[in-house]
Amino acid sequence: MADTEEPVSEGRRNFLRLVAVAAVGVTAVGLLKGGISDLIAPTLGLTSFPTLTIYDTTGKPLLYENLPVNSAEVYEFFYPLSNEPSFLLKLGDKTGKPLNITTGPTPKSRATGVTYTYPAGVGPSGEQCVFAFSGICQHAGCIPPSIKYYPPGFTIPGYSSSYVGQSGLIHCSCHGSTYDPAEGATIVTGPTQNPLPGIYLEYNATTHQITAMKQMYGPYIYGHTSDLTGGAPLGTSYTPITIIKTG
Amino acid sequence: MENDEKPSITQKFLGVNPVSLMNELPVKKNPTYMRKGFMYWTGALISVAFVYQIITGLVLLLYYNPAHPYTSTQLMLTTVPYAQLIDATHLYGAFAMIVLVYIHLFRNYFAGAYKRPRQLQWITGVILLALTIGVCFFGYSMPGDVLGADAEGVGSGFAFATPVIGPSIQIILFGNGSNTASLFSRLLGWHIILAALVGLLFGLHFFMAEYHNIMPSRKESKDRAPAIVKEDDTMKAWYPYNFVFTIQLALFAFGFILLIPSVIALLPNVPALFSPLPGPSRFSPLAGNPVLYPDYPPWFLLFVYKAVDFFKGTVSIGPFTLNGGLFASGVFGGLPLLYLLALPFIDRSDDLHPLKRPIITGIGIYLIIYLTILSVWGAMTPGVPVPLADALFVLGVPFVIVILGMLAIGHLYRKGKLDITYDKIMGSLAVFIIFLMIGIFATAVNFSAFLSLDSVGSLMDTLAAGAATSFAAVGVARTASVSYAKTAPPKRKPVTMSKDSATILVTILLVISVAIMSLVINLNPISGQMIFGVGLGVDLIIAGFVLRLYRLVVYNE
Ligand code: FES
Repeated sequence: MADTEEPVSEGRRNFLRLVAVAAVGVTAVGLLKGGISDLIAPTLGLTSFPTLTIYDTTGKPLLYENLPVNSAEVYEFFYPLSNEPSFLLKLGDKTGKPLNITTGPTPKSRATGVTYTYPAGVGPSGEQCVFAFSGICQHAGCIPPSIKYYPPGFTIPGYSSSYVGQSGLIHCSCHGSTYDPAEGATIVTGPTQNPLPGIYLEYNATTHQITAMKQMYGPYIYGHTSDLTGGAPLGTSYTPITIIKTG
Repeated sequence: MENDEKPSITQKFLGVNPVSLMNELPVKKNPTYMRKGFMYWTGALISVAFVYQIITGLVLLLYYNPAHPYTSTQLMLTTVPYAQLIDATHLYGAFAMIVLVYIHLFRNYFAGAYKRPRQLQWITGVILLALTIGVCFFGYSMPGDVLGADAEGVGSGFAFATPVIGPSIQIILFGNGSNTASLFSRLLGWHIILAALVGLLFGLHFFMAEYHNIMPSRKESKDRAPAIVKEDDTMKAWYPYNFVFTIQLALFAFGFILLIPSVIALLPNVPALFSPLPGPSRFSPLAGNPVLYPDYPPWFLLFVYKAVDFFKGTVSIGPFTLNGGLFASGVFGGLPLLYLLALPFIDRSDDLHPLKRPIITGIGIYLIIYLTILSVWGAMTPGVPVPLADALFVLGVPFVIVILGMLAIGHLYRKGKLDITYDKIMGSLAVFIIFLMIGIFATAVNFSAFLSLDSVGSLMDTLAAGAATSFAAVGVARTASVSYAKTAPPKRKPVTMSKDSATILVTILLVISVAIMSLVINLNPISGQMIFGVGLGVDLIIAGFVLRLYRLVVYNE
């Protein structure tokens, strides 16, 4: 067309420039709004303890009989938040016969002097031997496999006390804290001033599944101002086991 | 330059417009005609998509926890504002990159851009293709959903089956299997490492491209290498002409990358392979449902996946025994890549016209067909074993047809009987490929009957289909040439809109854009984010059109 080659007037050019900048600006508003709101992570946590069935490594509910007694490998799961590792323990005596702990142990805090009452073991009657504790050391926060369970008969490097638990000990290699799992993870040797927090479990006699639920006992999980804040919920109805192989 | 006669608004406020210093950058001017066709800018579009991937990827990185890949992803998707939009567009931005990389590859293949002086540029480009697919593979597995787990399983199996060093490769790429974090921190690590390599190599590729400039039109290169744009003073400066054009391209690219996945996310019943959001966890009971979640690798790897079915059993090479399926996919996936890498050394003539190098052009067409057949086959009958002889037959027949057909057309062309333009050739090629596809599927449908030889009819079908496609191809090219000669095309009018209507249209577009933004911006950032994505995508595309019209009115382009 004839008029296409004529230069446009200054006024129209500036008008168009304004429109073009505005059109790009509108999209910039959208992009910035989206981008910046995404960077502001919502503060997270839970308002109550979740009910999470413990799953095995293949993605199916873990059955009582498939959990080994006195396992030197760490059976770790996350509860109640996804950054809170915990141990699952099936305690037996020296011969590997499951213990039967029917009254709740009473560990004591050296820091506050408070005595807690933890729940009894869960499992089929006569074998109430499954316990779960927070896997974050109460001294300075070491996690598995630095802190782990040593079954009866295993030597603990650097452990010199003569105390022998009914079913081995939990020991943290970071600075040498030791806990007795059969006594509610009570303090055996320092430097820790608190027992490990205990997790409430339920055993289903029909399905043989184990579920973590309802509440926790003892001090708050190390590094958290409450067990339910300071991390992301798992967002699922289950919490899978990770087996940490140890030397 | 007409702009310099009167000071513009920017110049009034800032003295010398600082942005015009961009002309001092080591970027080349481009002839105006290039700013009219998308085909000159496929590389630019990939760069834009890559920038989008880097930005969204870094944002996603802030929320990803390799110890809890699935839960951390789900948590982000359900609680963080606009996270679904960013996650979905990061996936589709990757898809866009792969598609564009293929378009870029084949455009330059048929244009002969691998010839001197761009041989090294071509080779870096082929390596970039392989790296890009690698980045996408690792990224696809990262959410820890069932689709990603399937992809990771296939890849990890491939790595493990490599003789001697296989187990080490598997550990290098996928960790030692001690726990979830060992696998997913490797996936995350390699995703970022490979993306960084893509970035570095892209830098080299880009500056080589700036040095040699874009391949000029056939008219300018006269179909002879070296095809170089001669920069001269009649060419418009890079700033503002190409600068505004580049922004226009970026707006269009961002717009579609946001729009497409947002629309798909709002549609019901999208097949799992194309869902913009992660599927159920690999531990979920739903994961075992092969109908909903088939054991597929991502679609861009389906072609190597099908090849696994071609070779059951083992292959011995010297002292090593290989898993046959993996050997086959190594060969079927690796050969095309090696061919593309070697191409600048294979075809060293200076001919750029596709018909003057019919075998190379034929192999190019065949590569498109090859990727399509293997991918569709992989998607339709995953894991169904195919005897190697059958596979070679299905893949071999189109090869023979294409090469013979191209030789015939090339012969006609050289004898001067096929004096047609580039556009017509491209049109004919498209029709040819369609015919060939029909032929192949006709063959494939009759295939098992044909092999058991219980039906002479299906044998005839197969042969007829093959013959028909060859004739169709030559015929189309012939007709195109004849009809083109008869109807001398009227010169298309260069500009179809007057400056006044363009100005009015631009204003209307701005009003629409503002209206859309004000509608979507305050939607709930979780539940309304995909609608927000649609609105933002549309607005970006509108802004692209505004710049197009701005260039029309102000730059006469
Ligand atoms: S952190 Fe466990 S003993 Fe110090």
